Amino acid sequence: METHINNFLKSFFGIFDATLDKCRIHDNIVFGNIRWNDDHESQDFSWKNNVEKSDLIKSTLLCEYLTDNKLMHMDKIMISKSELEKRLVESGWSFSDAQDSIDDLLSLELRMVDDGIETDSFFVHF
Amino acid sequence: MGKPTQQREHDAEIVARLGNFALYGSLINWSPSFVLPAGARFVGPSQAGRMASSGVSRVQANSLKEYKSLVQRLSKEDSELTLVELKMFQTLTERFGGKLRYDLNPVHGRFLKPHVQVEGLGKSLESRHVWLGPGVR
Repeated sequence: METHINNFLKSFFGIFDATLDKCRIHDNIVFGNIRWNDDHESQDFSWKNNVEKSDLIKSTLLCEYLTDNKLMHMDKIMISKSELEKRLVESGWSFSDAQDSIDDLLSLELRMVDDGIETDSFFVHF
Repeated sequence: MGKPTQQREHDAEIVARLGNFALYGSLINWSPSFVLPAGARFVGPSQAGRMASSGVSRVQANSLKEYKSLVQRLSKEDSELTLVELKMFQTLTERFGGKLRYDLNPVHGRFLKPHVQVEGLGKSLESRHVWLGPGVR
């Protein structure tokens, strides 16, 4: 599971043009640190992971799809939900997988941690 | 429910007047005594009224470093900007070479609250959400 969490985090933070630096998991809570790719600054984060392994794999693939196809602007998906579903189906996803994965990704919230305190969040939206 | 809103609007108006005055002061290299010093503690919206009455706006930064720190503080969920504060934040952002991306009507996501994000000043700032108050549309 740890590998899948790592893979997901790498692809999720790829959306934000950041690289996963450190990550540790304790009681399903993930604590970690990312480095921004455009400067030397970093950001701590935490995430309470309730996602099943199979859903995590699909979320990972969806993040990669969004990044590879340049469909993100900051944290906003630049096409409509129905258009994204259509494109995923054209790329070989089943419609239900596409729908579920989009809903799963939209429901995720990874908290930014500043000086040990949770402040803002990483999430994506349409 | 109506009274706090009226109080908030009243506070925002005072913040606007004095805040713009402070901003003007910084543009002509004059620091009025009520401008927050570097590293001053952030004061949230619940304290905005007290700050306004003492002439202090929370939307201020005199360097890019202070600006980054400001964005970090404003990205806390309860730091809802008033319309006037948003205008001040936009002016400040442009002063440092960035611009604001408005997302006043986010759809299909965990957070459907209106917010702005800073573009052009690095990914660490771009990832932050500066939340807008209920009256800002």
